[in-house]
Amino acid sequence: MCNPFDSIDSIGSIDCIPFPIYLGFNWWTSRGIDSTSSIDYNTDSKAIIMSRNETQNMRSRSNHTIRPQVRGKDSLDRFGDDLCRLLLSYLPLEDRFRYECVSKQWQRLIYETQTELSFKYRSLDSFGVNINDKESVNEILDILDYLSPINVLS
Amino acid sequence: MNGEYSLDTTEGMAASGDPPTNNAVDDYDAEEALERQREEENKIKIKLKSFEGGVYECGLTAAKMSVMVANMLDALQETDLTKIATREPIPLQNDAVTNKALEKIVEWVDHHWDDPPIDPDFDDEKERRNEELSHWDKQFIDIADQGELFDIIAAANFMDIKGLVEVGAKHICNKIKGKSCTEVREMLKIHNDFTPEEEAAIHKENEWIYAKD
Repeated sequence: MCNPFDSIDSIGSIDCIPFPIYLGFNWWTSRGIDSTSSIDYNTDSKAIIMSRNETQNMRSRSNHTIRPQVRGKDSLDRFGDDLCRLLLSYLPLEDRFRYECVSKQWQRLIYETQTELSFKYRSLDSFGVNINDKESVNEILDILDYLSPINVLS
Repeated sequence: MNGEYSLDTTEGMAASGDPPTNNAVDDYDAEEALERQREEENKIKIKLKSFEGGVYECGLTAAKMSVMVANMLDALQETDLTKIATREPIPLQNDAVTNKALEKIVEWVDHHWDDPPIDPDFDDEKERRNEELSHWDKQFIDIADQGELFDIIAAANFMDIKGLVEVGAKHICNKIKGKSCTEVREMLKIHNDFTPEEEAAIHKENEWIYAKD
């Protein structure tokens, strides 16, 4: 048994430990389960702890290099890249071009989830770039790095 | 010979004719049974504990909408589900899971517990993406305090409740629709970490889109 928190037996003291997130999980599941099976759980949750720590490290690194100041709870800057990327994935393409200059985090993430381009009536999406206007279309394709193969539908 | 042959064909007919109907009935029954089971399970209440220590009760099926909670419950390997109810509350160790946030999350999953579960094999991602929020969701997520709204989204993300994160994301995207960069920054309190030159460069690059306005 390699769970370092086995000795802690009051839930209150667990609450004070901020990281790793899954500590509570570890402790909680290992109760009432016999020792042979809880070894499996420990290795399992360790893997989770490692990946959690990794993303957390990445986030805190980007926080330190790009945004040294601590942001308030009502600021979107508190969201890490994963959540921010997901949020931005609901934007239409036109808004993505417009909001590229909101912040470096947005610039980094905003085109990542744009994997499709759609054409309507021979013009691009909702803003009227003609499909024959090679220069404009190329410019757009230059910006959109994450496109999967493009299907042109009539 | 002849008799044997005809016997074979009837058997063959029975074999090819019956199973599909049987399967269909089985499928239907299985679906019914699953639904009933979900309904029964939701009558079992489990307790969730917020980061601040508040304990909230929630139906089992509803709680399982959180993939994280579902995994924790699976790890218990408890066959008698009613015993789960008597267990200690599940601690949610993330500072976004405040009392207020957890209360709202429990409200959301209690309302949505009987939604058809998202089938990962069936790719309806695109459809859901473009779907408008329901009236109930719109009212639910329309929260004046932005800190609280972000808490809920971050907590839902931590608890891995896909549907709720989606509601939050759509809500924020709806809110910023048609706004300028500066307005978005002000609204979501995002720190502008570009130098004026960098910002001007991006503006210039995307000039053609501004020209459309």
